[in-house]
Amino acid sequence: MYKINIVKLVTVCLKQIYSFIILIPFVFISSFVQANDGNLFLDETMLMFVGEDLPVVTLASRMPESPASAPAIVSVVDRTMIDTFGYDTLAKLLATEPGFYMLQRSRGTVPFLRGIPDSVLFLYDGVPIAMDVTKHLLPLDHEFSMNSVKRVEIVRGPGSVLWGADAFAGVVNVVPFSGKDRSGVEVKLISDMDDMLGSYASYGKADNKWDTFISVSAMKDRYYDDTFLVAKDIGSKSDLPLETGRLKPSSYLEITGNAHWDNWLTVSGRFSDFKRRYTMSDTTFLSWAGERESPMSYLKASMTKIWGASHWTLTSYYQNIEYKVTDVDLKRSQRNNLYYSELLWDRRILQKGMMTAGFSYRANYVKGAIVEDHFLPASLKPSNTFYVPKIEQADYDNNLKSLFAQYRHKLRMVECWIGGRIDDNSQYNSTASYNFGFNYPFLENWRFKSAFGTAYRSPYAGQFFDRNKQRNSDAISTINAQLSWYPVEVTEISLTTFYSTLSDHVQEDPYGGISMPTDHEFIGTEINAKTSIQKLLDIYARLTAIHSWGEKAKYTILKYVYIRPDGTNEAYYDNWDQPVNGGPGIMGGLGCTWHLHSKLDASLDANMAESIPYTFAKDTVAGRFKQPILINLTIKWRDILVKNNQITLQVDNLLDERYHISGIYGPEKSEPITLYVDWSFRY
Amino acid sequence: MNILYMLYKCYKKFIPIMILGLVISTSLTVPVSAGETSDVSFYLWRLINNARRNPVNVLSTMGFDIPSVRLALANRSWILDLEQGLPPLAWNPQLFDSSMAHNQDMIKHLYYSYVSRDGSTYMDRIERAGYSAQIAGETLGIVSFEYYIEPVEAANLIFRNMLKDEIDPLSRVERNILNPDVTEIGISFSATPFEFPQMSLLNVYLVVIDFAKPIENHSYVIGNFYEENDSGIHPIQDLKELGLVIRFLPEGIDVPLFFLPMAGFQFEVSSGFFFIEVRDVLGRVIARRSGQGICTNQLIDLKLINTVVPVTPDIPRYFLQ
Repeated sequence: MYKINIVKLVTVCLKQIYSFIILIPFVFISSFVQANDGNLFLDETMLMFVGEDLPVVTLASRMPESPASAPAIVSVVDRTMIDTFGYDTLAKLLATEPGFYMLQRSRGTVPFLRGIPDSVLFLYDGVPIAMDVTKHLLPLDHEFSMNSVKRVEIVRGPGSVLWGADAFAGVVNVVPFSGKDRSGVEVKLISDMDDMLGSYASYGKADNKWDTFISVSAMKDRYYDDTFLVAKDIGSKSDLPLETGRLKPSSYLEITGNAHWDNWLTVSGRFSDFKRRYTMSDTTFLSWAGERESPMSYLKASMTKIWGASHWTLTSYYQNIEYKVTDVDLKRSQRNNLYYSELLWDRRILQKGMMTAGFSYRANYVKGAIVEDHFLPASLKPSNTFYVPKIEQADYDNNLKSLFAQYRHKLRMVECWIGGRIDDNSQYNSTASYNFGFNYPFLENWRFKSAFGTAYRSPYAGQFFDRNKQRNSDAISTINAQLSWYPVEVTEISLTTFYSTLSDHVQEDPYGGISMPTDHEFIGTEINAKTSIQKLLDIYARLTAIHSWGEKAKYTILKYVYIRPDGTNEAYYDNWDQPVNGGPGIMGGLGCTWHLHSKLDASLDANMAESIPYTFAKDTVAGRFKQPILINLTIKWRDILVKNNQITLQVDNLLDERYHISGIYGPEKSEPITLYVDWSFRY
Repeated sequence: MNILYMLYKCYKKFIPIMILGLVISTSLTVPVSAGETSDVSFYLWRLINNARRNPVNVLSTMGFDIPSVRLALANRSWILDLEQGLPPLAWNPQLFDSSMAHNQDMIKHLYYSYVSRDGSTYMDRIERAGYSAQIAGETLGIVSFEYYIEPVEAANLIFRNMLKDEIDPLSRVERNILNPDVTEIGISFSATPFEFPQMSLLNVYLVVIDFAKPIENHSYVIGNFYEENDSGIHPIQDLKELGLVIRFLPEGIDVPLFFLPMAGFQFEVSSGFFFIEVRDVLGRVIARRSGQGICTNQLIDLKLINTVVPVTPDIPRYFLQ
């Protein structure tokens, strides 16, 4: 079902072995530390609790704690929710979170958080999935299996103090299972009764001193809009350049694993390989086949040690991302090799204070960063018989040294925090970010949390290499205020308001490239509520309203140069502006889970969004796409015939709503009704 | 009628793609679909003849300030005051060959100059193509682009810049488009990746236009068919069902013509009367217009008007205006 390129696999393995060799000294050091101090009592450390049954988040302070006490606006989606609603992709999960809008483009889902596209830093097991200069490779679809995910942690608002660049409008961390979480064997098969076929297997084992977990996921599926009409080759001299075709299926492979030894050493890794095949279209009649690969693989080692009142963590990882995009027969590929090491220290201070500080070094080697990706549809026109768009690529290295610290202190009932970070980039402007806030549980069941933070985004390659463009990073400042009410254990209602200002904000347009920097402001409200009625019916509701204002995005491109025989020439430019892409202004959803029987659950989730603005072809084709109410149904039946097995029936877009979404070059069709069935067994 | 045969020879390779109509009025821009660059050569030819017929209108439509143009043209400013404008330029296959040869030579040897690598000038090349010229001139233009532009758009950009250079008193280019002394033209239009020395590869449209006046004078009737409806002037789309015949009077000799791209036509006539007849597939005359040969080239654009009268053997369904 899935063809593994052996050579590639061996190459990647060798690279990871090489990385592991780099980590050996670090392991020795950790052994030394272990030998000299076998005391592992945690009472004086920052580890406030580690509870399997309680919701835990590590994003906000780099330590496990409850979302309510975390120094940020935090939410957690745990395994129960993932199972209940059958989230098989990260995009589907985040689409049900307040503030998020998932634009399901054919090349890959584009996340919007609080009205800002590509503004979320995604982490897997604490490892950022980012290539600095390229923003569009987030593993939100089938290339990332949700089967081995323990929980997803979400921070709304800037998180640069602890996570550095690109933790802009928020941070999402995917936490995988460990051997302690999932002991034994689990197998799973999934099919949509058509071209989709997937399988998953995991093995976990835990002992007193160690635990280990490994999972393998493989899948193939076919993009729903799978026919296209396009020139055979870009720049073909064929007299009849248009032909129709049908996509081949996409294929995905993912292997993850981790091992923990005696509470001080953790080694984890992920290997991924996939080809996502899809069709794209422009604003005329053209459509064409595309293919994207951006597998992210890494190997990480982390060591923790307690020394007196201090807790030290040394983490190193090597990450490799191979980004390849093909449209028709035009290929672009980019390789990213990243080495990262971080030393984190935390310590309780003055009984009620907690200091977290760290130093990190990151070396990022990018080969073939896409500086300018020319406007493809123009070259696909039947009148074109010679022109092949030029793709401008460049190599670059960036070393980043960072110093950060966050201090929390409890003043009676109120916990306050303040933090700061300095990032010294070798290739572009150094940046500073900071945060502060407080958390006040003012009544028995009420909590008020306010957080202010700043963050920045690493520049696009187009900014980085174009001397005419500013190299300043986008910067954001956000203030959040959250009021939570949790009258009983199963009920929680929270109201969050935010106000963000963006400065030097740029956006990317397929025709215009990188826009001129502009400033924008966003204000919004997020409401999230959940309750349970007699343990029979769980109800969830969410609502987000965002209003934004600011300048339009301005673009200037060289249109043509007229050249005279004497060598003189005249350059002509295209100038235009277009609205900033902000997603829908109002989004909401309602979901419920009905526990029909001890072995049978049915979940229904309805998602709605306001119409969404689109703009194509230098803003000459613009308008709004209506978004219908989308309903998803999930039915789970456990222990059928034998124990520990489960069948899940899932229907996405139950009402089979047909609508359009804003693609890169033109409108794209939405996914029609889709039915999946999966069977899983745990032993 | 030898010239007709030569024209036919030159154009026969374009016959399958000829039926794309266009424009005529200098005050109106009518879209042209020029999928092949050879079509665009004819489109450029038409733009040049439009500019010659009504330079004031064309220049002002393009945004040029006419009093400044008048100053720039200096002793040729009288061109702007001609009631009928300058006579159109007739298409000449030898001039086309000469321009195409230079065009291909520049692409092959990667240079951009009036003088070939072998040292020959445009006068040499025109003569080599078998054309005996009293006077001649050459205009070159390149449009380089990074984002693909359509050939017709490129032709418009090149034409605009060529015309701009002609009315710029500081420009050192030859003044050919509004030259009253030339009568014939050959245009080659190529689309190609082009690598200048010490520069990266450029995607370009390269145009070579050879202008001349032959030693032996000829005069031609040149024009295009167009139609007009409520939404404006449009190219005629279905001319492939129609035939074009020139009936020379008083002998009554019928000479069939092939439509050029953009529903264009050209035939030689030095004196006497003639009919331009449009015939259907059965050979029936569906439209007719008379004319008279004069000693210079003339531009006759023909508007096909559907009279909605049932077709009979005697009554043409269309009028030519």
